[in-house]
Amino acid sequence: MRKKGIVLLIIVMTQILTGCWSRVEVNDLSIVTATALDKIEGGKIRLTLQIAVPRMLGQVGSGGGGGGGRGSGGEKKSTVTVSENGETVLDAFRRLQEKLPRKLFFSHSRIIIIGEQLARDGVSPVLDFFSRYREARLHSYILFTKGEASDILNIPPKWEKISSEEIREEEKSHIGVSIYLVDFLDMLLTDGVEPIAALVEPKSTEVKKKSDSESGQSPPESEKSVVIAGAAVFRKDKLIGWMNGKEARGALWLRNELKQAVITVTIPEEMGNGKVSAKLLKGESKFKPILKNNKLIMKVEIRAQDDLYENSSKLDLNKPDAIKYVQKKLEEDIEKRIQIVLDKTQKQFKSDVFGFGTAVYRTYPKAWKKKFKDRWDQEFPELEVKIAAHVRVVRTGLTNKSITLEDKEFIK
Amino acid sequence: MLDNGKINSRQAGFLMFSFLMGSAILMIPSTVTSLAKQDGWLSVLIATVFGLGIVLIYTTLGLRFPKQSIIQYSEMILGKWIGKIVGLLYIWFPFHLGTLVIRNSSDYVASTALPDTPMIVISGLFLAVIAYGIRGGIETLGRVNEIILPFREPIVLLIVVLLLKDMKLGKLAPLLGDGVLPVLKGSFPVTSFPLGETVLFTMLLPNISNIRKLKKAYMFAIVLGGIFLTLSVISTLLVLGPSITSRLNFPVQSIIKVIDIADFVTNVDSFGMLLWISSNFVKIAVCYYCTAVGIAQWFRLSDYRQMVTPVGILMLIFSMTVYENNIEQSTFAATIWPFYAMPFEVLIPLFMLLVSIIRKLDGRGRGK
Amino acid sequence: MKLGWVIRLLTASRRYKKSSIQKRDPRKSEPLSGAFALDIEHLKSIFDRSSDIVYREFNIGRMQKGVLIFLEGLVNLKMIDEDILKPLLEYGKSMPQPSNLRLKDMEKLLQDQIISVAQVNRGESFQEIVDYVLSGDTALLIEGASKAFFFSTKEWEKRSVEEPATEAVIRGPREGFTENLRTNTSLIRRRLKTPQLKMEGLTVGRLSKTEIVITYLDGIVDEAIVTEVRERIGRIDIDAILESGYIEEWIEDNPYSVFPQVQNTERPDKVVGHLLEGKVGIIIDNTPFALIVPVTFFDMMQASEDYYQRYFVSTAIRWLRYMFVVTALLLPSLYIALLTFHQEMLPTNLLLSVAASRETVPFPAIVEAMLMEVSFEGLREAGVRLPRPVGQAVSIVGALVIGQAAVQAGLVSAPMVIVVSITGIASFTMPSFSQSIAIRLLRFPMMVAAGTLGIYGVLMGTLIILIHMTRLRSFGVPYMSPAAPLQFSDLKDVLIRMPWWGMVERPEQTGKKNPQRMKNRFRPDPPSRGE
Repeated sequence: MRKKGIVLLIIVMTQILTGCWSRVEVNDLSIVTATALDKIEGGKIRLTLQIAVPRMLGQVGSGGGGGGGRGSGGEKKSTVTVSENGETVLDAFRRLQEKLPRKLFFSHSRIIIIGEQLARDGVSPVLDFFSRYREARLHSYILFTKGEASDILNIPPKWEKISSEEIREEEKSHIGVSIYLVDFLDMLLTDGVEPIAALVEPKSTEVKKKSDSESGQSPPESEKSVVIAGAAVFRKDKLIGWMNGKEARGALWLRNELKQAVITVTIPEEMGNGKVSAKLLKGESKFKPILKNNKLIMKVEIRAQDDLYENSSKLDLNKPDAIKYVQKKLEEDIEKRIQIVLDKTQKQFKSDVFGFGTAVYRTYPKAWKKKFKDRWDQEFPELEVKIAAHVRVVRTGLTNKSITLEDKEFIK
Repeated sequence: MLDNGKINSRQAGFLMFSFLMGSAILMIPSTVTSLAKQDGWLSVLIATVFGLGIVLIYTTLGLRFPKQSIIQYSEMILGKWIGKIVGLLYIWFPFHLGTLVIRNSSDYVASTALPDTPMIVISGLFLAVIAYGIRGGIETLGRVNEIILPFREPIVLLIVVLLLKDMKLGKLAPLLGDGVLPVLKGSFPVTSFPLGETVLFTMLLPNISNIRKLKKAYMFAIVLGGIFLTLSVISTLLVLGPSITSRLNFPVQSIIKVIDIADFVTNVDSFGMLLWISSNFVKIAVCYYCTAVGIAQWFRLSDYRQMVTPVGILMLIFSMTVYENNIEQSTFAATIWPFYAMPFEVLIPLFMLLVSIIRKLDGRGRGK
Repeated sequence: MKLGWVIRLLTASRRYKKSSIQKRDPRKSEPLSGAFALDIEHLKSIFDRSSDIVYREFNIGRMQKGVLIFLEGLVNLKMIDEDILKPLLEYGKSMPQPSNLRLKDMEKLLQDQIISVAQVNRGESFQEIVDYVLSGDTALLIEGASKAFFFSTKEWEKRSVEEPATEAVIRGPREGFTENLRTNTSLIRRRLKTPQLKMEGLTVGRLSKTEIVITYLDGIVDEAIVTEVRERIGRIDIDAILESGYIEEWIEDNPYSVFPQVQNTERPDKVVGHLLEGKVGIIIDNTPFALIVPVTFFDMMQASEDYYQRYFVSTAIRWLRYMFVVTALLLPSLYIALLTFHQEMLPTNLLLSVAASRETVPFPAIVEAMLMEVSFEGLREAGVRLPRPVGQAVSIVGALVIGQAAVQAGLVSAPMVIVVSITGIASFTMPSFSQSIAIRLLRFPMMVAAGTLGIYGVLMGTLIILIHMTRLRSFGVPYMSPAAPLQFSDLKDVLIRMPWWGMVERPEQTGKKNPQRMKNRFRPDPPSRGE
């Protein structure tokens, strides 16, 4: 009997040897590094893919180390951008595949960029593909752009070999909004929170010189690089507006996602006239919904720890009182920033991207179900929000008093 | 006795633990969160308590007849004819369960790793490997499991640790936001799948060398299994949140995909498959073994090994034809299975226990 | 199993009749006739066409004829001259009257007064004469006697005790077994000065008459294992035993397994170490490789040096070996699986650089890997077979020149070369050569499995190997013990190498009979300062 089992195994193995169903050699793959989706006229979807060309990427001993993508001619690009239209994503995908000699391979695409038109019409239909398809990653960054998404993929990289790597690194640093597809879907599906995602734009890495702006010349495309410029705000799956960089950072404060921040406050004349900049060490926000007499108040508490890194004022930072003063100033600044973004979302977007609703549900699940769940759209713009920031300055860098000032100049 | 191999209680407990990890750990998070949302993990904990009760029933019954399996003592307790029918049922149950799990495994392998490979190759190879193991008897199963287990479970824990940075505690709140009812509802399917399925382990009783420690080992396995299942539910909830978890077919696989160590180790879900298939190996092997031994006992054959190949081929054919697609399967697993499995898992053993107590039947005194 | 069936098919056609092999020379079993000339004639006909047989005829006294028969090259000539021939001749001269020695006097005289050789035996048949002479004794036939006398004069050319070539150590004894059985037994005796050390002798092989010694420590070893060894060796029916590998294949539990179920070693200290754990050693004449049974997978993973180095180091080295066993078995197959099935698991940058290096490679990954692995095995084999200086040149040419050229020509990708080299190195970390070659062999089916079903195939292959290994037994001891069946206390010598003061008990599977190794757990302490 044991013999039969082995014979069966051998038969199975030989069967297997003759066919090679799912096997694909690496050099038969088109490795997709970024995906862009747009909606074109007629409601069709345009799928644009950035595909790496391994031949042009640092092969050991090939000399030059694959600096090909520097954009200057295009004779040696490290990536190729291809696109095709289709009824659905998979349809476009199939049409695209027809044009390519190698099998499209999605697993290494960790960026999805969606154009404005598609975003305004609703993203749910296209995102379904990315949650269902085996090769797609739920942990790819989802980004939105004003205009056409495919343009972003054509901007040549500056530091990395592939531009999508650059975008990913930028997202990972958490300076701007950085949202994974899975987070986006979670916000979309969960009651009491609306999706938000990063906005990317091509921007010049250099600040415009005066002569350039006077002559009206914009820098050439190759000088530009992709920058996270703000945030896209959604209601359900439809884009309803953009936040600029500053507002987006305010939203980050509220969403408790801020990892890096520099806060600069102005010290008025009587206190020393100048600026103090602080770097965030740790920031944390907490929502405390309070339901009293059928009226909902949202208390937002923000705790931050900062290091002071720059002081151009005449404030003597060796004095605890001065530190307290700066702390108060910082608190005011944070509250102001947050108030701005809060006003904008409540009044203009009317979309709860901060998850106030979820906070209410977590504290008052019953009341939420009865009273707020179905009419949160109306409740949210009217919600009273109280912001309280608490800042603690932990260190003052390597100096205490400013090294550039003489003792007598300090304001006591 | 059909299989002369002996395992000790610890090995039996380990087998039961792996049995619980097989197939269930991948599906349960989705099942319970669709019923109990963010309180799904509580459902699993409650189900563990129910599971303990079930274990208590069938081990108490089994330990009254330590030299026999359920197929043999059912004839003693219920009389020849009803006993034979009950025996037949307990051949059918592991067979059916085994086919479901093998189908489930191949579906999973096909949809995550080998999309273009024919299902029959995946299942066929798996069954052939398992058949080879079963020919070695329960001893081999116990030992193979003993080698794999100390590798697999630490890796599972490691995965949880690696996911810590992606977890957000808030996703578990509010606790019992929708009351207790959904939690209890959620615990029902978990009780029957996989905790109640351990009723098959009554078949192993004649092969246990130190039977006194058996009850403790089985209880321990259930508790540990419950803890690991809870852990899997909690981690999926913390990483993905209830709304996404309930929508995914294999949520655990998705969270393994989330792991990212220094941008170097990413997308390791195929390794996750290894963990899961290795515990499925135990689950299918136990079902397969129980079927083969059960048939041999039912027909009073001298060797169960001649049943291994036919049972394997039948299982393969059944697994290929039992469902049209994976939706049918998950619907079956979530809605019909709990009711279908309850008689096997609770009612029949309980009834037999009561009858044997009333009739004062006891197999402990005699025996070879 | 399939393999067994094939083997039986192959051997069936040339199965000889038992009698044709066992037919004995009828002349040999006859007793001595007592007629001197006739007997000599008879012996010469038995030993005809044997130029190395020497018949030294002489006279004792005046009339009585005698002959010494021995094999030149197997005897100590000086000893024959001085201790046998000379005393005999001198005795003859000193005999008072020209009378013949009578048989009954002869025995007494020879043994007690004349011959100064340690061991003297008597025999009456030609068979005995043949046996003794062939094993290096000197036979004496004297006219008028129907008995032959045998003097132990064995001495032949032998290698001196040298450092074992296959099991080198940094720290530890440098003695290895030689081809001489008695040297080998003495090497063991010297390490265990106790009458408990038993050395049972056996002779196997119809033509070779190879001496085999079963050695064990009485009172520690499990009697059942010794009996089993004795029985299994007793069953052997073969014309000649040339090496311990013959015995190994005859006494294995499962003859259809790639895994060695008997350990072989050149090191006496290793044998003694195992004897102390209650195992049985088998020493075979004419080979420096002794066998140890029963043995487990983990025994094979332990080098004798593990027990001489500090235990922290040994523990770490053991873990290194475990890691490398897995590497040797799985690395090429995992590489293939990742590269052809699960490209998503490679980090993006790594995938891109691997893809870049594979652009020019004409083969699929599986073929490339097979080619490389096979040529690596070829290189290794060539290195063993070729004379040492040439071997080195071959390995340099093979490894450096061909490898480099193949990569530059784009026939093979650089990552593949790295994978193959790491695998090769990993396979050499195993202390047991027979073990490492088994693992190396299994690598190939694993690669095929990986090339057809990816990681799933690798898993299935691993499961088959695991099932096979857990089913194996070596003289009744489960091959994977103490991991499966799990024996916690024995993990002290598997997961870690417990310091010697912690190894209180012998391993459960073989040392059950007398588990205590030392009296109590004693841990060295610095002298207490208070006193």
